[in-house]
Amino acid sequence: MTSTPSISIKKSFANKNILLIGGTGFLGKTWLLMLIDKVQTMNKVYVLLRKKGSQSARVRFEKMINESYLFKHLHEKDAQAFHEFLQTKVEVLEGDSTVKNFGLSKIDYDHLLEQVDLLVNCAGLVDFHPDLRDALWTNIYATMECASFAKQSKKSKLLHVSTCYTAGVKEGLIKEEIDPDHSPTGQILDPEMELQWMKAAIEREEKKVAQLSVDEILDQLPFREEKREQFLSQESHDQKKTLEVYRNKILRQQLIGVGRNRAKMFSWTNTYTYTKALAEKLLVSRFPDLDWAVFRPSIIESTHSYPFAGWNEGFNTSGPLTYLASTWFRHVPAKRGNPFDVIPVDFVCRGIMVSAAQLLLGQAKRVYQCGSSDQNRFTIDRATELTSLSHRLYYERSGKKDIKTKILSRFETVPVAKDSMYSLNHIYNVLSFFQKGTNWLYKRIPTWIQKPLRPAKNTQEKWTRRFEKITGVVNLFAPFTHDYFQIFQTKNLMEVQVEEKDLNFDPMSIEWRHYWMEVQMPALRTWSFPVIEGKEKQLYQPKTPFSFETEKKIPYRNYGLDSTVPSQSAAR
Amino acid sequence: MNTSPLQPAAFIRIEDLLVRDAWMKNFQSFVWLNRQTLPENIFYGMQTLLSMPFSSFYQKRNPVKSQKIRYANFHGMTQDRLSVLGQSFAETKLKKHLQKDAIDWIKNISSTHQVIFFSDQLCEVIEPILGLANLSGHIISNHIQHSQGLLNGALQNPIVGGEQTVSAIGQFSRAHNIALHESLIFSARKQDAQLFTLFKEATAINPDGDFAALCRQMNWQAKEIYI
Repeated sequence: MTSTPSISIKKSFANKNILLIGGTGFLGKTWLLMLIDKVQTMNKVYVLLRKKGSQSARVRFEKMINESYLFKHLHEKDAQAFHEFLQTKVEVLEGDSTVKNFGLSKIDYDHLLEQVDLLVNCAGLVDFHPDLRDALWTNIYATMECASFAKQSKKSKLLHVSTCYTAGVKEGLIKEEIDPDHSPTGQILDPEMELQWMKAAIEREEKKVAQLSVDEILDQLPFREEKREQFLSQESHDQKKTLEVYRNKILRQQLIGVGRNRAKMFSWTNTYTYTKALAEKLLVSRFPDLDWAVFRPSIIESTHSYPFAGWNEGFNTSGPLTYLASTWFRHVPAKRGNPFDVIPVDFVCRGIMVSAAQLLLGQAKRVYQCGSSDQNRFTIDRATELTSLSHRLYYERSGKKDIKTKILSRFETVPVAKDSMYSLNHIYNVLSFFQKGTNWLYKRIPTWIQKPLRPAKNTQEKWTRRFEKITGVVNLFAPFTHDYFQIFQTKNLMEVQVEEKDLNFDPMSIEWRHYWMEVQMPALRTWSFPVIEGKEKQLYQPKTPFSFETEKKIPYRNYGLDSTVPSQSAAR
Repeated sequence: MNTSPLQPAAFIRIEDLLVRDAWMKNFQSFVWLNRQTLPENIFYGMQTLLSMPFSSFYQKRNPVKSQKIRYANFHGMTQDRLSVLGQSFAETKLKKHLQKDAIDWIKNISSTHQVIFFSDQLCEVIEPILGLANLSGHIISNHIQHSQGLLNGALQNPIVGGEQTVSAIGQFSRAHNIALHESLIFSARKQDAQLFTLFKEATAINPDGDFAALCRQMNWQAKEIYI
């Protein structure tokens, strides 16, 4: 047996210039933190950010540094040193990875081409069923733009962050490889032709929707009677604007459906994984000689220990389901024994460090999978039970003595098969049938009886709608919890020995009960559940906020101070 | 071979000192009422009810057998659930019965001695009790065997209970280089009398008539702590 020589992450990054795309996302910002806090040896980090509304890229970056609890320890440890480090090591560029040359000026782009040693693309549209146009631009064109940058550059390598779930419906051991010519179930698939098909499908739908008459548009809208009345009561110039809004809504819905059906046809679980998989295939077919690697994390969740245990943002995969488990929701579609491949975000960042270092050293493999199912399996039934037990302890410790809290603390969510009579789909079908029946009856009874029954009918409709929403959420996550038994091989990361122990990818060190009960669930309660409930996000406020001193920068560079960069939609 | 010198320690039985044994024994019913699903509650409830008379019958005659019968009902439950239920049981049922005088007294001992707690109960109950009492030290208690996170209802060896407590403590002291003949022991149980003879200094806690007489006879100390 040959032992692999160990690598040093710090030495691999020494004096290198890194371009980070997607640096404000959940994963991107955690990796940036690790880079500036733990690695530190790089020469420069360029962060490419989009302008958002009136906020320039620079302002967005400063807001992220100042308001995210992720950077709290650096502000509190030595704010001055932290600010100086950012001033000297980080440059924010306003651009857009979905636009040619990232939407940068020629001088900026050429500068990057000359300087950058490694491009890390963390950007992606993680919505499972997005408008096909958005998925195409963000998940495919942006990846191609990154690869094209690496190709034009003299020395840049590309690390592209994808997902383990590009495996689609394939079951069993998922190897670290890309099959450029086949779908997950082995159907022949030419990625270039698929790309052409997508473009044609988008054009076709756009034309179809453009040709719709006013009546056809109004007929296709939800709550069509109300919408029609509103529309007819408007002035003619307002009607034109409203019609355009309605047309866009319909087009969006159509393209969500087109993406979903196409993904399903080729055995991917959703448009997100379908477009991410196509981007991987196109990297293989278009850039065979380039130094690139695909990094595939599984389900990314709260930090395990760095910078502190239990940091999260917004809601990730387990957020909505665990939230539902704290309510009267009872049955989660889950197959006992199926892996629930969760991996804390700080472990994913360690994995990115390892694969990036391998790329910089010229030792990289093509694919790195980063999950837990291969080395330290966590099952969906265990996750379900731990979630319920965590809610129980939470309710017990809340000190509330009312009967509702007492019942809720014992009202455990249990895993059920999708075809079980207790499954949500069955309950929803029964409810819908009941509602149709009552609607039919309601229309046929005299008006004087209808009036007192109206509140009851409204309540019934409200509950059916709520149930429809819950069923939608649960079905969305069913591929991860119920449908497929997938184990993601992590051999390529596991075989690398890292000198810096705190940057080593070591999923075996996760003790799941502790992680789920003491880290993940409290993190979701602090950071995610308030977002689900529509409450304000918690923002950190440092004593001395960070701000770039622009006068120190080279004058010709675009730091997001002007608005000459074309926006994504304009470039399209 | 471990050649480090042997250390003295203070061994303290938790039952009837920190909290009454009778309260702790309710854990079995607590677990039965808190299975994951209603059918499980019914099935294991029946099993628990059926086993209770047998468990009580053997309690004095053969404590280990009594324990084995009691914990056999935990078969099929996950280790996660047992751990969380232990925590929940300690917080909701036992916390209010913790003896403050006993806690203070143990803290005094721990300032001068390495403290080792022992108990016939499951470690899933003992650990949170000590946590709630803000006490720290090694624990010698029972564990249920498991395979891939599922309990099979059998106790792991060495079992702490009845006469077997002596061998459990013996094994522990050998593994941790503790000299029993230089150590202290505190217990409220008459059944620990055999164990008392191995220690340098033995103290009976709240001894009743028989136990107090035995203490006088054996020259063991007695201490009254209100419980």
